This record gives sequence, C-alpha cells and structure tokens, in this order.
Amino acid sequence: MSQIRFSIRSYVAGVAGVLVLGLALPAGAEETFPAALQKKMGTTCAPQCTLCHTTETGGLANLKPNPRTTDGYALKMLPGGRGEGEFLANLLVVSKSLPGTDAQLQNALDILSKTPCNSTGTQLCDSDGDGMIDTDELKNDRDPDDPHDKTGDLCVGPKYGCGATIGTLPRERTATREAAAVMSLLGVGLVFLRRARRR
Amino acid sequence: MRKDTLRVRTRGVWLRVLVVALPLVGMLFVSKPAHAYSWMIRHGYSGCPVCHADPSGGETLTAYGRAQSDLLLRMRYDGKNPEEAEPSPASRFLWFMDLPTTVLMGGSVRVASDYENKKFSVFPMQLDVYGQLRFGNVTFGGSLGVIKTPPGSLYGRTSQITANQGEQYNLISRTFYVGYDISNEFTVRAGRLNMPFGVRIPEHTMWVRQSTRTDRESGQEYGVALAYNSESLRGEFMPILGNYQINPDKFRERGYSGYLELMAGARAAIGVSSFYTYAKEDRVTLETNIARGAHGPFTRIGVTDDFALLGEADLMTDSTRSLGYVGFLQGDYEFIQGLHGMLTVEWQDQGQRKSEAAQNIAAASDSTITRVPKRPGEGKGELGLWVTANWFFLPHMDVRVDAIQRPHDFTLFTQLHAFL
Repeated sequence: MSQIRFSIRSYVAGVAGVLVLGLALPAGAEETFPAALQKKMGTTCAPQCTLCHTTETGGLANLKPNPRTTDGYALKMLPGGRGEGEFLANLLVVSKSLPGTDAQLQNALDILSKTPCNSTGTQLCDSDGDGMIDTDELKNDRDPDDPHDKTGDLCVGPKYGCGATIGTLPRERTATREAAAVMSLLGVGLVFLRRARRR
Repeated sequence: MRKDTLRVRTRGVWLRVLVVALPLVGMLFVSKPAHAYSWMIRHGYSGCPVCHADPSGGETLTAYGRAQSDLLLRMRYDGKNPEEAEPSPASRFLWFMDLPTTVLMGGSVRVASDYENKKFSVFPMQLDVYGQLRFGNVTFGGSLGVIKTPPGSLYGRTSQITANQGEQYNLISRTFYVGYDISNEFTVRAGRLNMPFGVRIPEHTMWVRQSTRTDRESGQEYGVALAYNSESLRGEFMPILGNYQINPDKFRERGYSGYLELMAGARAAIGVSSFYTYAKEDRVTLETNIARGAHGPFTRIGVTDDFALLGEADLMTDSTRSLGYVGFLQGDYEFIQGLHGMLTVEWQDQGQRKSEAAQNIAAASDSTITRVPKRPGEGKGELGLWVTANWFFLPHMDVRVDAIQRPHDFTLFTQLHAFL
C-alpha cells in the first residue's frame, strides 16, 4: 500500500517537475527602453519616459517632436554640435532609424556616441549646447536637453535600499540559472520529504 | 398624484435593496462554518494568529498552522479524512527540521512563467525566508530575501536593503519587527510591517491590492501596529511612519492604515478598512504634495464546506485625481481537498487626473487645446476577470495557473510555489 502511495506521489512530483521544466525552456525577458538605456549608458536610474516622450507614460504617439519642425528652429542657425537641438531628434537623425527593440535602441546610442551630429561637421551631438556631448551627459545622470542641469538631475525619482551595496554580477540573459537553482532546492526538499516518509 | 408616484418609486427602491441585501445577510448568518489564505475561513478559522505569527495573517506559520496546512490544505493520497489523520513529518520546516517551540521559521520560493502580449518568460518570483523568535511575551521577527528585477520595475524595490538600482541582485527585507503580547487579545508590534488593510490575499497584482499599494509584495511600511484578536472581533491599526528603504525623505508616505472585522456567523466575517497617507512627492508618478487613501468594506464567507467567497470594495481618494474606486469578488471552490478552482471579478477606476479634467474644461472654450478622453481605469471603469486553478499537490508545495483577462491585455501566469 505504501508502495502504491509512493508511486502516486512520485508521479505527481514528476508531472509537476516536467511541467515547470517544460515551461522554463523558452525563457527570455523583454525589457523597457528606460531599462535598456540605463544598462547601455550606466546611469544610476532608469530615466523617466519624458526624456524622449511628451508624457510620463511614454508610447509611440507621444514622441517629442523635432524642434526644427515645430518651433521654427529651421530659421535659426544652430551650432553644428547641437544638430536638431534635441536629444531624441538627434538620436533618430544620426542613427537613421526609430528603434523598435532594446537592442536597436542600444545600437542607436552607440552610433550617437561615435557619429558627428552634422553631416558636414565633425562634432558629436550636444543637443543642449552646454559643452558636454549627449552620451556623456547620460553617463553622468544629466539631462541632454537641459543646459543648466548638474550631475544627478536625470534621476529625479526615488532611490531604493538602505545604502548598502553588493557587487554587480554578470547579467544573465535568461532566468534559466535561477530556475535551475530553485528546481534544485525543490529537489532537495523532495529527497528530504521521501526520507521523512520512510522514517 | 406626485406623492403616490414617489411612494411607489420609494417602495420599489426598498424592494430592490431587500432583494439584494437579504440573501447576503442570510449567507452571513445561516452559512456553515467557512481558510491567509483568507478562504481558510470555511474551515472555521476566522482569526489569523492561531496559524500565523502575523496577527493579521500571512507568511510565518505557527507549529499549529504547519500541521493544519498539512491536514487541510494539501491533497491527500491516503484516503483519510483530515479529522482522523495525523500531520505528516514533512509538515516541518524545510520538510524535515524540528525547531524549538520558541522559534518559528518559514520561507517562500516561487518560480513563475508569464505569457503576455505573445511573449513568454520564466523568472524566479520570490526567494524569501522568514521567522520569529519568542522570549516570553516578546517576539522578534522578519524576512530576508533576494530579488533581481529589471530597472524601472517597481516590484520588490521598496523592500531593498542593498541599493542597486539596476538589474542586479538585491537583498530585501519585506518585514522586520519587535512585538509584545500585551494580553491574549492585544499585540503591539513596531518595525516594518504589512499594511493592515482589506482582505490579505496572495494575488499582489490584483487591482484591489496594487492600485491601493497595500499588497504583501512591496506594500509594507514602517510603523507601530496594535492588533486585537478575539473570537468575534479582530482588527489592526497602524500609524505609518514612512518607508525608510526609499530615499530621499520626500518620497515617504506617512499616515495611517487599519481594519476592523466582525464575525457575523460561524464562518462569515464582515469588516471595514481605511488608510490615508501623504507624501511630498509620489514615488511612482512624481506628482507633488500627494495625499492618497482608500476606504471600504470587505467580507469573507464560507458558504459551504467547499465554497468560499471573498470580496472587497473601496473608494480611492487621490489629491491629483477625481474620486476612484476598486474592488474584487472571488469565489473559491475546492473540488477535492487540495485542488481549488477560483473565479475572480475585479473592477477599478483610479479616477481621472485633475490636470486632464482642467485641460478638458479649457478645451471647451478654446479649440486649440486638445481634449483628453477618459480612459479605462482613469476616469472610466474597467473590469478584469481571473480564472484560476490551484493545486496543493505535496506538503508545502502548490502549483497555480491564472488566466487573467483585462482590457487590451491577456496574461497566462503559472507559478510553482514551495512554502518552506
């Protein structure tokens, strides 16, 4: 009788294990653009959506318009390094695309950090004209569209934690390792369970 | 003539109220004795301290709670009734470890998979250990865990001890406290505590918990809480001193939170809860001088031995929005011991942003200003439906599948849960 009970339990545990392992195979997480920008530029926060959008909720419909087309900047002669006069507009013009994925955004930022802002010039983009190029502004938690900001101004939201830090671990592309660790823990639990039953 | 019409209409309204209220009142008083799992009420457990270290339920189990979870919660394969069975040795901490009576230990490990917007992901959802140490009437308790959430995600952030802001591992502590049992009924605790509010359900993304920020995933606050538990009445009140794991101070919310629940039958309870907080700046919306609150009734009814109803309806106040509301009604049916089917309806309208309402007023007289339409959940009501299967297949282990349909959003969520 006890053997029958054990087989049922084994079957149930086996089905649950196969179910979880089966579900775990196509692991992969899609991240948001603020997160992708934070990773690429090493900012201490995920920037607010208003860096590139007109609203805090973001979205394609709320992209910041190019100042040249809306504010008559076309009539002004901006210094070559200012390009279109705005970070997002410069990012789109220099990278020649509207990024649709995290990887595309990170690639666009890469191009922005190496490519002259003006096809006839040699200067990298400094959208707000404060003397620091856009990608360096981001690396220093500064707003590339604000000429009067200081280090840290980009991260206006809250910071979490008590102040302690632990080392940065290499980034995992999937949660497979964690899932495997948890499954191992559960496996150990099941072994103990079996031993406890035998006792 | 008008008086007669009015009288007939009034009578009609009263009749409708009676038609709705009488069955509810009947269920409250006539229902059979109804389980934090709040639906444990169907086994006649109305109060929480008998099974949990937290006087309002959740997390650390008492020795009795462990035994009862083994007897009443999990699927049994030996054909015995819970009344005649003995708790299995596997009901102990980590399935095998005996602990001194003064020490309670537990933990929660969840691995989840999520299918949403045609994307599939698997992630470790929770890895917490928790416990409580008792010296006479004095207790020390708390939890420690590890999280790794993407930058921008709010989940778990408010509980961080370590201060990594990106996608690194962080050490978290959701709760920690020192408590004192003043009497059999009264307990006072000080520290970082779950918000005493509403029905303490495990579904932290359900609107009723997420929109009010009163969930157990990341809704804890620092404060001093006084809890009362008797046969017929239970409640907890906590002045909120702010969350000191959020910096700087302007993002900390301060105010109060509490609930009072009355047993209205052997297995039915009805209660009210309320919270109100103020912060100089909101940590999510970054709006300034924000006062938030929620206030409303809740109920737990063990309708039969197999069926329990949980419900909550709150009015939400937010100084930057119009009046909102949020609630849920959940029916939990236990097909056979350990296998639950749940159907949940949730609703909410967080209220329209006052700035948008003002823009609409201006748009009425100025055609150059764009009108902002009311959106589901923001000025317009929205409905959500959860269909859930939960199988407690081994001692302290369950697997749960939730199909969640919300406006423009379908999620299939699966989790494997071990409570240690």
